Amino acid sequence: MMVARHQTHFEEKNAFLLYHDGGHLFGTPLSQVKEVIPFRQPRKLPNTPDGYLGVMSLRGEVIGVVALSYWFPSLKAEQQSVLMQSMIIAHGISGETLAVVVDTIDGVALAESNEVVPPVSISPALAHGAGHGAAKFAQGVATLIDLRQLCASMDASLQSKSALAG
Amino acid sequence: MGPLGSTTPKRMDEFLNEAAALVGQWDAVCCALEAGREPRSALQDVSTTILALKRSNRAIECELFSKTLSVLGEYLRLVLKLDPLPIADALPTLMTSQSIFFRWLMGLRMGSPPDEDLAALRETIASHNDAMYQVLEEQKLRESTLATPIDRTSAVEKPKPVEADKTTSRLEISQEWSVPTSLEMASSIEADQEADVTPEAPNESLTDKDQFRSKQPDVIAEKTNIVSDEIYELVAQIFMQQGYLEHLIQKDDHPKRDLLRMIARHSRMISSMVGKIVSLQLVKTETFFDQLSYFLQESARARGVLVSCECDVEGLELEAETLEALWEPMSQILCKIIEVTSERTQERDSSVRLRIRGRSEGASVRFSITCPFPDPTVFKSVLDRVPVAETALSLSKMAGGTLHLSLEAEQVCQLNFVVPLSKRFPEIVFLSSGGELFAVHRHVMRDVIEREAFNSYAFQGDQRVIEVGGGIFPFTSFSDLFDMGAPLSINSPVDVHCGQAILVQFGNDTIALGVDEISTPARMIVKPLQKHLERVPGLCGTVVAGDGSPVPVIDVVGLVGIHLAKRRMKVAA
Repeated sequence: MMVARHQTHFEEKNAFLLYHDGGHLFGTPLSQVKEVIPFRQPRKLPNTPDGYLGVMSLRGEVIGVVALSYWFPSLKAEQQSVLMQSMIIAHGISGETLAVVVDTIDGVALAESNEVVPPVSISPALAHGAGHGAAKFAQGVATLIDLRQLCASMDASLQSKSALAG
Repeated sequence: MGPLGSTTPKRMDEFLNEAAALVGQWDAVCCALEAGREPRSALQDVSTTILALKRSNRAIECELFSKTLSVLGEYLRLVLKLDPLPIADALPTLMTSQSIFFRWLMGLRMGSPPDEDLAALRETIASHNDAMYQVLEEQKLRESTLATPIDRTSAVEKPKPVEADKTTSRLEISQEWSVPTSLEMASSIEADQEADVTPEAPNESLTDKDQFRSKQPDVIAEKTNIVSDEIYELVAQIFMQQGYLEHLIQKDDHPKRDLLRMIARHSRMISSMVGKIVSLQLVKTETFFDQLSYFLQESARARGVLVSCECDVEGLELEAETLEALWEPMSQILCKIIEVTSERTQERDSSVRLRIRGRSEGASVRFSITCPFPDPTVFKSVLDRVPVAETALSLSKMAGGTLHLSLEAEQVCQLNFVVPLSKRFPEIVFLSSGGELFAVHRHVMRDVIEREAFNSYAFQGDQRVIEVGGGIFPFTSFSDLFDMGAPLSINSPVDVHCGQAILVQFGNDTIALGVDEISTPARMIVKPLQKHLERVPGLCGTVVAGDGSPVPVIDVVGLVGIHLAKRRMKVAA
């Protein structure tokens, strides 16, 4: 009976995958996560901005690999060993898949709607609908981000264009 | 399942496995026959296989299967009686029959055997048997008449109708059973389509581009049906042959030669299947240019200009997507020519003559559109109105091709469009530069030069040029064309640290790009880029390397264009 109740909670939108990157705790709705895999070295692509790490082949599909610093430049400072890192395979709105590199995966936690507070302004990206807000978990206060929204608004050419012009 | 209803699943499985092995043997004999095996013993082997199939049929007692085998057995007996053996006729008959049996067995496994195919086969073979009986009677008659010296002249004349019958019989076989190729079918569809296109008035509600688009899907959809049937048949054969191979391996007493032959046949079938899959998206360029010509004539008529198109494209086929990418720049430039011609000429009965020529050059196709102008200023006006550099880039990005617009002999405008033969399986070359691996289309490389074959010089400070074969070309490292995040270390501006150089042409300019290593070209599948990467300059797609990692396919022509423009700006500054 307890298991059934637990599953019901997970089916709702209150289950979050928690992960650390650059010393910060983040959370993403579990429904947006396809899978989590160990870090694989991506192939670098030319004319792409910092934070866009390249592409990798996942079961025959060539997908883009980004670091969270692509959206949150302030995270650059702390770098974790690649052996420790993981990749969150996230679904974009348009059906595209993207791999997001994070330092460590902390697990899945539940948060009730009333426990989520408005977004913490750590990046302009969060102000554009990509931030769910913040919530307190046993691991600490996590910034809840909407990876699906971030993936959908992504255009890897935007920063490179200015680089080329320069 | 009708008469097979009483068969237990176990018996059915046993029958199918045995029949698959026997039909596989039949195929192996046909292969050997094709490879030049002594025909009489080969035909006897097929005969034995047919008898074995009849025996195995006792498990399911299918009347149609049994009767068809009997008729085929009779056909073989008759063929063996003929002297000389009509092997040229018998081989396709046997191969087609074997293919139909394959399909029937496959269908039986799935629960819906194509009985009508087997019945049609039985009737066709029966009619051939009748014809063969006649031939044999004529042969006997001829032998008896030849025995008497008085009737020799008449005997020589008599066989003529018999020979004619034989020819008819062979023609019947080939006409009834030969599966039309995708090309034949496409041409017949296109012929029908042409008949539809020419007399019709233009559809006013459609845009220029939509007129072409509206035609494309019909051709592709019909072609898809035909080719997918052919692919299905090949897959069925491969599946059955796999069963036979397993059987051979389990028996373990078959010579390696047979196994190798079977594997070679597999490879041929797979290669044929790949070809058919590629052909699914191919469209004849004649259709494309007919529609382009029709569109130009309609556009020109409104301006009082007469357009005449002379098209010679050698029956080339290109992917529909590539042709669609070609449509916009090609029609855009040609419309500008018509526009300028109508403005410049005083008389309203001015005319534009276009000569379109298409030729395949290795892995690419070059379309040259030649248009003579009585007034050289017309060309300059066209050039002013067409954003050639942008058009070239968009074409390169969309179709992996290049566009050159040039003035030849002052009064002739020459448009050169170069597109790869197949965008899906293009020839790809891997090259390493600056510690990174890249892939480029083979057709964009004009030449590959070994390090020993060129000298490098400093030019205007930090720029470099190389001299090769009497020509001097600007030189840069391949990886310097784009931003890879980390600056490349260059020891000295004059030194050229590269293993080889490739020459790439952009318009009238040629540039040498230094690379560390180049692989031999190979046909590969180019995977499209994810949406968020589509606008990244210099990327065309990705290919998967041997180690499973993706390698970016670089739009070299586009990047060279950007690089040369930057270089010119630097020199001017």
